[in-house]
Amino acid sequence: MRKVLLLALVATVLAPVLRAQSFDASQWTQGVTTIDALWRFHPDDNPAWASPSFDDSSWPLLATGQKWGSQGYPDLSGYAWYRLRLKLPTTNQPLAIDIGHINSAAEIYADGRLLGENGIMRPRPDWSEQNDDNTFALPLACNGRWIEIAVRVWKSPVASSYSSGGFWKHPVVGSLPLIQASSRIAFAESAASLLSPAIVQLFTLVLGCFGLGLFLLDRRSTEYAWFALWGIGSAALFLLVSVSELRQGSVTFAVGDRELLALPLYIAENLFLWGFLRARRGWLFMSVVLLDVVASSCYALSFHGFLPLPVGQAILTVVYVLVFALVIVRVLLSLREGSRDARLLLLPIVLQGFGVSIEGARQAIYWAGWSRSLNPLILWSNGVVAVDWNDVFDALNLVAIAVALILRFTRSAQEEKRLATELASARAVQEQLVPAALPQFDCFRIKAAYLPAAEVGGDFYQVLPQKDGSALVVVGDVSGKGLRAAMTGTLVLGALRSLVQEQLSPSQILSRLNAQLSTSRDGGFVTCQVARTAPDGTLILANAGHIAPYRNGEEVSTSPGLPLGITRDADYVETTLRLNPGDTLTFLSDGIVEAQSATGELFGFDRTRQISTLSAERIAATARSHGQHDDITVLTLGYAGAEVVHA
Amino acid sequence: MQAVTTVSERTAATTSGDSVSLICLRGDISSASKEAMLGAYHKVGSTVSRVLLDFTGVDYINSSGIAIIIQMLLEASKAESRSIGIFGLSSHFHKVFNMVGISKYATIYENEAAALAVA
Repeated sequence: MRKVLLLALVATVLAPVLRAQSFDASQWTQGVTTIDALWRFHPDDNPAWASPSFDDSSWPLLATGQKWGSQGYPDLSGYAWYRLRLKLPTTNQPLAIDIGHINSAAEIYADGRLLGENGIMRPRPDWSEQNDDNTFALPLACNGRWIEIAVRVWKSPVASSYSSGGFWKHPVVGSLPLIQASSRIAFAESAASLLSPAIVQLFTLVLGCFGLGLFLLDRRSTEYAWFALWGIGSAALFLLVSVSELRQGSVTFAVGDRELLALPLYIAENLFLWGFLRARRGWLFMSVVLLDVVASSCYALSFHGFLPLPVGQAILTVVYVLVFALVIVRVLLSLREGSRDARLLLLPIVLQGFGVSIEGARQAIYWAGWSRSLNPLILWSNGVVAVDWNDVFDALNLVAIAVALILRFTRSAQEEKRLATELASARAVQEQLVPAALPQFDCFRIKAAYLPAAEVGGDFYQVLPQKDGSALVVVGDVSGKGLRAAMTGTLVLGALRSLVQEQLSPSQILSRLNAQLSTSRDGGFVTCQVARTAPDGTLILANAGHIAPYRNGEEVSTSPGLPLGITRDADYVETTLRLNPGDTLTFLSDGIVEAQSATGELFGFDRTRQISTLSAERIAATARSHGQHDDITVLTLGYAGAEVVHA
Repeated sequence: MQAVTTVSERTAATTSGDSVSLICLRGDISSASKEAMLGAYHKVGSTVSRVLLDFTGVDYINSSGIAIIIQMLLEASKAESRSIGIFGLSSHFHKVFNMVGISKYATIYENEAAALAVA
């Protein structure tokens, strides 16, 4: 009896050992058999461990239904080997083994012969996507024999904090067609899981193309180009990553590097937002870009082992919420400034807010340790196709953005049409402000250059011959821009033409014009200079707030006077000069002195004086090359001398 | 891009000990500045006989901005007991202010110290 008990005890102790490195599947007749056995396991790496003759009896035993982290190797990363003797059934049918998911990648050998790899092992191993297609055909010659299955596993050290390595489930062995069919179904399920985000990305692509169309219709609105870049780029990146996922590509690339690839898209998205709101790209914009750069870089670096993965993930999550908060601040600021475009963005922002909140909560729950997975929050699923909340809010957000784009573009188009009509009208009126041709005088050589600004301004000038042979030169500028300024200019010139008939002096002309403008104008003013030049060289000037003329390169000292249209009480004092033969007087508008460079530098009075002896065309061209912001008017009056009159 | 006008007020004492109101302007002055500028001026108590306009922080003044300044000066000129001083102008706008006749309605100083020394 004692002997029987001893044998039973020995049998009990040895049973797992005997079964440990062997599994007999020879009783299989059809379908698949689960290899529910303990495998020999050893950390580290040695090519000799693939050999069927290697003695692994000293290796510890590990189950395959769970990863090695829960079996005494929680922090193990790098290489490790599994080995098992497997008895295959005697059959003419082709057989295969499906090893299931392996974290992070693996090679499988049968009797020392490499059958294939799961994930990326060559030329150097990488943390790989798993897509259920892990079937390896076994050589027909192995059927009916004991073979040595060796699995060389590599576990990414980066992924250590994410999950441990090894088999996720028990491998199965059986009919090759059946296992392949099963893998195809599993692969289709993986592909189906991408259906919901794929629909969102398809919509993103369509919207991106729509944005590109809007940009082609309105090239000045570069925000549409940024939107197109974001939309088309996002869809392209999704396609790239999805293909990588389905082909067992690198997780380091698909998740970590993806964030770096997406960085230009994040910046494009913000350029679109700021452009849409017509907001200045100040510190708020720069902060958002900087945060995006930091977060994407940290996240990508964490996948390359330069930072702990949870740190990279936490930085990304915090920045994600922070950037959204800054975008809200920008929208609110624009709302406070009365931006109608900001109102259009309210709904997309609220919807994005829901998405951000859900994503933030999901991440927070995971990193706080309350959840063991970062799985999406599923709204609906039929077991194959799943829709998660993020996809829903992304889709709604896109719809809202599409509506905002359409409304804004329609409004802009209407506004452009109105402005174009007004501009055409203003240009037509503006043409009346300057003479088509200058009158000829015996003793004066008069030249003029007039360069209207892109936005219609209110510069005007006239040279009116008088009965006594003198020339009445009037140069002025209406404050403000557009049709209203041009109309005021025509009002001044209309009044001037009637006053000229009365043979008034320059100061009287200004006073009468001022009286008319003071009653008819509301705000703004007109600067104006009137000069009467007699054939004998006598010149009488009166100035209403206009830039004084230059005589042979020196500024003429005139009595300052208030611009026209401000108060009826303004007085205008005349200045009398005597021109010598060869003298040149240069009259200018403020479009020259206030020409502004790209850095904001004004052309100024000094440079204006220095170029005042040049021809009218060259003065105007010089100011324009500095940076034209207003109408530019130059009128030069050369005095040839009184003798010319008698010639 | 045009910078927004910001206006602040404070009081200061002249070298002779009299109190004056200072309206400090910052940014660009244009038609958009009207409300802020005239609002600040109207806030100055009716008993204040001397107001100084500080243009030290002003980058640019367009024609509409000049119209607003003239309007303010004309309003001040109607109050016989109040005088206006201006300081902190760039040389460019100092010349422009002379050109448009502002110097007839306000005295232009180089800086605050000069304005307070004679106020």
